[in-house]
Amino acid sequence: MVKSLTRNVLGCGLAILLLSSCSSFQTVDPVVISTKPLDRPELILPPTDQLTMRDVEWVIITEENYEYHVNTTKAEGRPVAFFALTGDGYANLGLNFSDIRAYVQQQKTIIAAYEAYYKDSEEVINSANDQLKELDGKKLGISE
Amino acid sequence: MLKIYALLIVVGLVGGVVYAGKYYYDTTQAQITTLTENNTKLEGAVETAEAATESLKQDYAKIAKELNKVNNEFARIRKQNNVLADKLKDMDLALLAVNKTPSIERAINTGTVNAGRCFEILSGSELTEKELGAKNGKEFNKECPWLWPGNTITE
Repeated sequence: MVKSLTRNVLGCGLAILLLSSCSSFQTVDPVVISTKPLDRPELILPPTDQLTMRDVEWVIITEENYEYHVNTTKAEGRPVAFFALTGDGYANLGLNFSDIRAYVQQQKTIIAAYEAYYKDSEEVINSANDQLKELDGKKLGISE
Repeated sequence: MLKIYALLIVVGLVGGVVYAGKYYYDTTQAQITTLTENNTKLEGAVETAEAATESLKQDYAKIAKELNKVNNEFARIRKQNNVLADKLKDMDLALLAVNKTPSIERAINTGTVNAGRCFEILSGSELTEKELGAKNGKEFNKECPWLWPGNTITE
């Protein structure tokens, strides 16, 4: 009788103790930080085609020499047709070409700037990534 | 009998207290360990953020530098582009062509060849012996002297 009672009391006491202990469970979730550097794939583009300009011959036709040019053209067996420009028209054509040349130079400048920026940035990114890797390594070392 | 119960209760209470104390100690130690690890990780995160900020700062400095360079280059190109316009401004080409037909014809044909050559050079064409041996920009190409490799002329 006594033994049974003792067993019951001890059993109940243990059960109560275990249950009350569960209520004091307090967990702190560990913070998980992950850093992963990304490698940017390299863009390789073909070079542009080189220009080879075709021959263009200008002929100035005036009142004095137009007959000479007409006859020469006829003698060469070519149809007599001249694509004419006035003085202002010629000047404008020259200026248009100058504008296009400037535009090409500006585009080249922009491409060079992009190239310089991205090459330099890549170096900065690489060094930052190395730093991050180093930090990750340090963290792992401490956690372990 | 009562004594036995009292003893059991006392033993139970003491055991409970000891167990609770041990449990509390273990839990606290585990929490301290986790918090220490978290703190280390957070310190690392701060360092990472600082590294990223520094990298961004360097990028912005590069952007400013490249932008400045491009603006200067554009100003130079615009100035070069005005050279022909300035040259033609005070010139009556038609009148000159009437009065000096052969020489103007020669000049515009040479100018056309030179201007075309400027485009070829800009497209990456290799320089000719004559161009390589040029002593100055004008000797290199009168239409685009600034493309001369030893260029210091901006106009």
